[in-house]
Amino acid sequence: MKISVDEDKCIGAGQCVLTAPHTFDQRDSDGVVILLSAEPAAPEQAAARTAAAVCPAAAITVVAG
Amino acid sequence: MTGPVVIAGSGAAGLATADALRTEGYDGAILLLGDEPHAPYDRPPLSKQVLTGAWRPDRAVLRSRAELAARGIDFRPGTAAVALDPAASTLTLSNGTTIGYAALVAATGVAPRRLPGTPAQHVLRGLDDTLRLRGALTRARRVAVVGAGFLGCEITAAARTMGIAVTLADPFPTPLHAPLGPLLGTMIAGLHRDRGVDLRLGHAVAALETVSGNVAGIPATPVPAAPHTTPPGVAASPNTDIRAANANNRAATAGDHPTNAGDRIAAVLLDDGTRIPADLVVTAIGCVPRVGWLRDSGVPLADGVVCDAHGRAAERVWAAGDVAAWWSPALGRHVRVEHRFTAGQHGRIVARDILGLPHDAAPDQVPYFWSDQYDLKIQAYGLPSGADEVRIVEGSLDERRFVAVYLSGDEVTAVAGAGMARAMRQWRQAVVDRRLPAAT
Ligand SMILES: Cc1cc2nc3c(=O)[nH]c(=O)nc-3n(C[C@H](O)[C@H](O)[C@H](O)COP(=O)(O)OP(=O)(O)OC[C@H]3O[C@@H](n4cnc5c(N)ncnc54)[C@H](O)[C@@H]3O)c2cc1C
Ligand code: SF4
Repeated sequence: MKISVDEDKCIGAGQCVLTAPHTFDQRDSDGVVILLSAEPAAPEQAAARTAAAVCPAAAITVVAG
Repeated sequence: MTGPVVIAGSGAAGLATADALRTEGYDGAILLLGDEPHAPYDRPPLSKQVLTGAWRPDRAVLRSRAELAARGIDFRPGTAAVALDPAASTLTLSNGTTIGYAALVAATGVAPRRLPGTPAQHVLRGLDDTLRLRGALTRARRVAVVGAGFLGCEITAAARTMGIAVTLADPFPTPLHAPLGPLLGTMIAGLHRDRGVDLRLGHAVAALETVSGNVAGIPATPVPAAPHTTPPGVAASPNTDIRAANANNRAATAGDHPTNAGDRIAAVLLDDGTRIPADLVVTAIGCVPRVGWLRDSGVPLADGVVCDAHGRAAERVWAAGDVAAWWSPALGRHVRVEHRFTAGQHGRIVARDILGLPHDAAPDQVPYFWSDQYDLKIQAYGLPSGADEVRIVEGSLDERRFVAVYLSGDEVTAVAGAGMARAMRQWRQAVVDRRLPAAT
């Protein structure tokens, strides 16, 4: 599983950090997402997928495989 | 389940429902109906990046037709739901066919209100509205924006960014008065004044004047004051005004009438006699739920589709997103929230309910909202409107970097802030707990 984020679309909602704190963080200044791990370990994958679904800006893309 | 899941409305909520059904393992048929010709797209960027031209419209697309097809979602653009028969479990479509369903999801969103009986005014809800307004803005010299809610403030900011003179008018004494209160509203007023916006607050629009000298009066009540008594993001109980607007639902939203027919605008007249010259008027005075197609169905309607805490409105019928008024166990009333995050959240909960899957313990998750104006990003968790106290707990309003806590009695109802994303996320917990942290 591979994750990418579109910083330009991110609106700093922080929902991803709340959902998958090991995969995402936020810059403090503007709240823009920081991708901690583009290929999260198995236990974190479900949370990362949920984070992509809850992101209100559709800024997170998950590619299976 | 036999028969398809039919989703009326292909916006954020409809799409989230379809996506979540697949993610939860449903492999039956999904029909996604949208009355617009476009693939599902996101609305928040419309009044921000798309209006200014910073984004091409296709950046706002949430899912292409190919991606929908790849997920086995049968997407039917340009097809509206027109009548529902819950007893027979059938839905009639605008192309004349009637289809059966195992589950039906109403996700038809809301339609913008307009000033009644007046000439040429723009509204902003869909992509077509946005492109039309953008075109008009590039030709305009003086724009009047009616309504200083989130949408009106964002349109104002976009137009100023494009270098156009803007007057922003609202009957309340500050912008965002109902949704955020006077304290933050005053800060927002300063933000717009700094950018050269001509703010006309405390007076309702009384009439529009056209270039040929016609003056079209606007009834003093309930428009345009009424929409502001209800926070734009959160609608209150039903009233006659909303019902009247519903009657015009189809006409108002068909998309083929960008502006009322008539001659061009020359000025906006306020109720104190002020005349504001303008060659373009944008009306942003709130929205009404698009429930016309449900009116004779027996599905409970008040201000939107009345649902339980998991979006169920009737036997095999659910509603999600802006159109849906869900029961809130925490608040003890139905709430209809016009926020992007809620649309996605509703979609995921409805999908699980349709499939009979267990729900998370707390369906009452914290609403989230943001708004971009110039370089300021305002964010809020919870529902700030109607609080009786607002306390700045971090930063300062002068710096436009702050966290504000909204209290009703000693119960925390919301936090709102700007420029302090991490602190905001920490303060969100106070909204979950509904009280201030022990140290405060
Ligand atoms: C310009 C703008 C800016 C916004 N900015 C923000 C923001 O910054 N932050 C935020 O949190 N929220 C924002 N919002 C609100 C957010 O976009 C909405 O909450 C969200 O779009 C709701 O999704 P929805 O699917 O319920 O409704 P919609 O997105 O309105 O989708 C409903 C769809 O159903 C279609 N439809 C209607 N009737 C029928 C029918 N009978 N049959 C078939 N289809 C039908 C409509 O044409 C529409 O395509 C903004 C909204 C707008 C318009
Ligand atoms: S949830 Fe989406 S918008 Fe919010 S911080 Fe994460 S990536 Fe950005």
